[in-house]
Amino acid sequence: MGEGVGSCIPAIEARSVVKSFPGGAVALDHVSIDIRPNEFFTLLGPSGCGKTTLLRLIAGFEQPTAGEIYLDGERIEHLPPFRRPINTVFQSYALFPHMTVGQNIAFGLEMQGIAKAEIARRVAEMLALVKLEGFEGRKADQMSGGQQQRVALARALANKPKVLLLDEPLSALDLKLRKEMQFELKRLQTETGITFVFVTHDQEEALTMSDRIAVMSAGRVLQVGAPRDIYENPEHRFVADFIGETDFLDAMVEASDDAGVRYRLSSGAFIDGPPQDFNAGASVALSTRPERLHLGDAAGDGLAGTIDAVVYFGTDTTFHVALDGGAGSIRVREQNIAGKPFPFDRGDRVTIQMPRAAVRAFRDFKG
Amino acid sequence: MSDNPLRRFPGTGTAALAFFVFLYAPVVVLIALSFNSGRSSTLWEGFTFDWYGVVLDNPDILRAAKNSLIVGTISTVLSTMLATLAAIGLDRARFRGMNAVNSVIALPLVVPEIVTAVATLIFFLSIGLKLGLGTVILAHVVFCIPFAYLPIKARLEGMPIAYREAAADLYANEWQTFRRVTLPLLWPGVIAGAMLAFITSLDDFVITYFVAGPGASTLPIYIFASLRMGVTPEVNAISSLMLVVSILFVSVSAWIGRRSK
Repeated sequence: MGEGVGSCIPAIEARSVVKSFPGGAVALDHVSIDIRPNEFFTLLGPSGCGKTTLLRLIAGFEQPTAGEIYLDGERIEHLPPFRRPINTVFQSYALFPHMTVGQNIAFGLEMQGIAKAEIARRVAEMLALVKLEGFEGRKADQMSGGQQQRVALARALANKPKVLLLDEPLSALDLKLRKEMQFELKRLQTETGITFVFVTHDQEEALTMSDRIAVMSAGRVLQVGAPRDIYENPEHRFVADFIGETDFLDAMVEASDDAGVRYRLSSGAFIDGPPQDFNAGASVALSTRPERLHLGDAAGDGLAGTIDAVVYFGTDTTFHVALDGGAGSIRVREQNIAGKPFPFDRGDRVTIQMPRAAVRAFRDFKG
Repeated sequence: MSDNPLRRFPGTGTAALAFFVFLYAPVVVLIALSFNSGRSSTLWEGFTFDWYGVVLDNPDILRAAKNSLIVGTISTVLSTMLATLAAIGLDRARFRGMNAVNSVIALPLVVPEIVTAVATLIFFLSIGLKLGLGTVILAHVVFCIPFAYLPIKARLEGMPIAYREAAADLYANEWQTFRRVTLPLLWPGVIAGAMLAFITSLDDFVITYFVAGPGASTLPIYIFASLRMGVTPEVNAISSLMLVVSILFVSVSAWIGRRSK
């Protein structure tokens, strides 16, 4: 999904959207984004990055300070929420407490003036879709969090919206239920073919469910891409840091050409990486992912260091290694495939094998 | 409660007991005397329901009771409507002087009633209004508003904005959102506010005394007037009836408030 649709009109397009609040706080700083029809699109970022604000602007609960928002090519930012064929699943679910499950699901259809028989049919269909047959007469407070979540989904999907917005809908659920609902949401999206815009601060959720992810920070969109793209080729230090586990080392560019870049750590040790657009002498932050590195014994080839800590995770073991010469500290993760302990322990001298492809550098803005 | 350090002080219990005796003993005596078969307000001469019969046979009392009901009902409905509109209008409003507006709405609660009474009377006379039941109703609507407003506002502030956003998201326009979501969820607050307004209106003496024209006497005015001829068991009986009505309303209001938590 999402391939070869470049010429399509985006389901949602934000063009240079700015949102500032009275008092001067800027929640969105010239955000531009294209969300393709039928895709599961995730806005990912830490709290306060503006992802929920962007969602609320698309829903119509707030108006942008500047910029334009398009739905299927038509401007909508001036329309009130009830004139937008977009529905929302709220973080708190916001099921009407004075109505039954059935009345909740029927609400949007009634407001659109759909005939009673059709409403009844659609409510039944939605209850089946979210596997809540027989719950029609219940009140929201007589249901578990997971069930309320399903009702909220049914209530939104009943209207067959062009776009479904989901504001951290899984954050109130416990881990097991959350995993189930992740799967469920993906199923619903595929079955209904509706464009989903999903807001989360949980990178794992974003990686597993999304067709594409927009990583946001401080009111800006830093990078948009498929999960693999975002994880493998982060374009910003923030993205590398936020998605997955990453260690950073301060380094200088020693030499750079078409074949690759050679970096020098503060200890004087060299690390080779794939080609990147740097000039010799540039100050950079080198990033590595623990799972891409391997440990070798002290006589081996690679960066030398001492094991600081060993953390056992069941599926794998993470070694914290302090590099020689105070060049920094990085983690190496080894999978526990052999079913027996690794021959390394705290205080051992080791070398770290760092494949070239595992090295990625960012311009260091720390000053 | 049991670890309240105040309870270790000697005399706390006695003081509390004295407080309740001073507060409620007169009321208990009044109710008891309304069943006294003699006319004395001090001597117990036997149990009777007669005075309640006398009350219900007295055309002046019935007229006053009718006036009280008319004034109470109309001013409750109007003040509750106005208070609801004010609460919704001011909800989430962020403008300069909003605190001032809220204070002004609550002002009648702290302005000495006698001041309001005199001012209202002078105002009515100066614009040429003829004193009567109409002026009483007008005055009651005004001072009932804050009593109705406070519970409604409290209820509205406790209501997550997400419900209204969800309604708008589900294609309900402002009016449909109000009628189908906001008002039903606000209803317990509205009822509680209306009950308080009604009790306040039923109970009012000072302002009513100033602005009531001839023939517009309410129950409190009638009771006050009949006191000039001494405290009779008849007065005790009306007062007891009013007490029952008040307790009923306040209880229902509190019950609705608690049930909808």
